[in-house]
This record gives sequence, C-alpha cells and structure tokens, in this order.
Amino acid sequence: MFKTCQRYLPFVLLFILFIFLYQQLSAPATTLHNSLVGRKVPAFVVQDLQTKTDSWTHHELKNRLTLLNIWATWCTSCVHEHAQLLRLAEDYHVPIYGLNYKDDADKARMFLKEHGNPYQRIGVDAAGEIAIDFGVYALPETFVIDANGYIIYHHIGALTQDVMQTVFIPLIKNNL
Amino acid sequence: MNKIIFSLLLIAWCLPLTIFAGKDLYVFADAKLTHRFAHLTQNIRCVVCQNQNLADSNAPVANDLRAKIYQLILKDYSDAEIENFLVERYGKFILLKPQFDKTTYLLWLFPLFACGALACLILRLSR
Repeated sequence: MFKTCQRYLPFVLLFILFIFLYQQLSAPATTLHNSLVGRKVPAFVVQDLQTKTDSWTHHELKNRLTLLNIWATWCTSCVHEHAQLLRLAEDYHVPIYGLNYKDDADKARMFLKEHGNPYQRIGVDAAGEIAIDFGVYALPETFVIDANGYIIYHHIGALTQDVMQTVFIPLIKNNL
Repeated sequence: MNKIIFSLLLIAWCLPLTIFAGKDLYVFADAKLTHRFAHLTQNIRCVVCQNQNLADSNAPVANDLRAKIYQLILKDYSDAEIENFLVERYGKFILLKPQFDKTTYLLWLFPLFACGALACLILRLSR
C-alpha cells in the first residue's frame, strides 16, 4: 500500500501543481487594483476653480463622509454621470468635492453654470499630477472618504443609476 | 536646384518630428539617474495600453506617469520606493516583472517543483 502511494506521489504532486498554475494563470490579471482603499487621502493643494484665487487642501475631506469626483468637460461619461451627482448632493446632502482634470477652466465653469453644480469645492488639476497621486487612469473616478480622511471606496467609471442604488446610496446611508 | 528644394523639403518635413521628440525628454544631471529612469519606465506597464511599457507608450496617462517617475527620482526616491508608490495606486499588475511574494511564489517556483517531480518520476520508471 505504502509502495503504491510512493509510486503515484509524483503524479499527484504534478497534478496539484498544474491545478494551482491554472488557477494563477486564469486569474483576472488585467484588473488594476487601487490599493489606496483603506489608506489616508494623498496630500494635495489645489487652486479653486470657481474663485480662481483661493486654494484648498486634502484637509477639507475630513470630519464627515465626503466624495471626491475626478472629472472633465471633455469626458463624455463625466457629462452622463452629472445628473447622478446632482441627485446625490440634493437628496443625500453628501459633500462632493471635484477635481477638474486637464480641462479648460472656462469651459468647466460654463458647464457647471449650465448643468448645475453638485460640488462644494472644485480643485484644478491642470497638469494631472494630483490625479496620478490618486492612481487615476480613466475618467470619471469617484472616491468615498470617511470622516477620518480614509478612502473607503473607489469607483472607476460613470455613476449610473444601478451603481448608485447598489453601492453608493447604501454606503452613504451606513456612514452618514 | 531640384536637389536644394528637395533638401529643404526634407528638413521642413523632419523639423516637427524633432520638436515632438524633444517634448518628451527627461533630462538628468547624472547618467546613473538617466539609466534608472530608462530602466524603471521599461519595467512599468502602461495602465491604458497594457501590453506596452511606459517608455514605449504614447498614452497621455503614460506621459503623466513618466513625469511622476522623473519627479520621484529627483526627490531621491529609490527604485523600490517608486515601484511601491505605483503599486499602491495601480496594483501589482503595473509591474511588468512580478515581485516574488505570497501571491506569485508558486508561479516562480513551479518550474523547479515540476522539474523535481518529473525527475522523481523518471527515476522511478527507469528502475
């Protein structure tokens, strides 16, 4: 019995190794995982889009649940999600901060005048440096930040009705 | 006369290309830093064109990442610190050469295990 086991042991080991290798290779490797979730918001100082002269920092994103939305007027998905942001600000009174990414500031101000402004404050990231500190690679992206300034959720892509109902509204209700 | 016109046209055609090439140049005072920058950008994946490295990618975000790496090198960050900075933000997938850790050890050690198991098998069958 022992000898039989010994004879087939290499086959069994090889089979197990192939299973592990198959699992590793079939894992979704192309997914970019933002590890900033669970960490403090990266430090930044930005010029305010509306006042043009003031600047504000990451310290604003504290003491209550806040959202940081990274957007631009040239980004079609950002335009599509705008109504959801307005709804979120009006119905749930969540302070939403914006980071206007590599955009024409005049166009951005005009866009908000025409479509409504859901943001408490908007920072100008003309060079895209702050977005890199947040690990942004596709607009729009939204970060949910808790009262202690920790990122608790990161969403890549437009905020659709479905995303709002299944993710954002429960998250906001649980953390307000 | 035709040769002169042809030469002028050729220069005029090449000029915008040289301007474009110069736009993306990151200059260091030390050749070692230039080498580190080249090595890092060749071993970091472009997050948009995922089969390309940062050095070869023309995506705007790749340019931003190159600029960030340039700044971090000037701030005296080590290669490991720069890689960690990027992994924290974009995940381990951003590294073209996977690190040896608890999630990748099997992938690295598989050839060794497989060779060992095959050697045992051959020995057993040859007896």
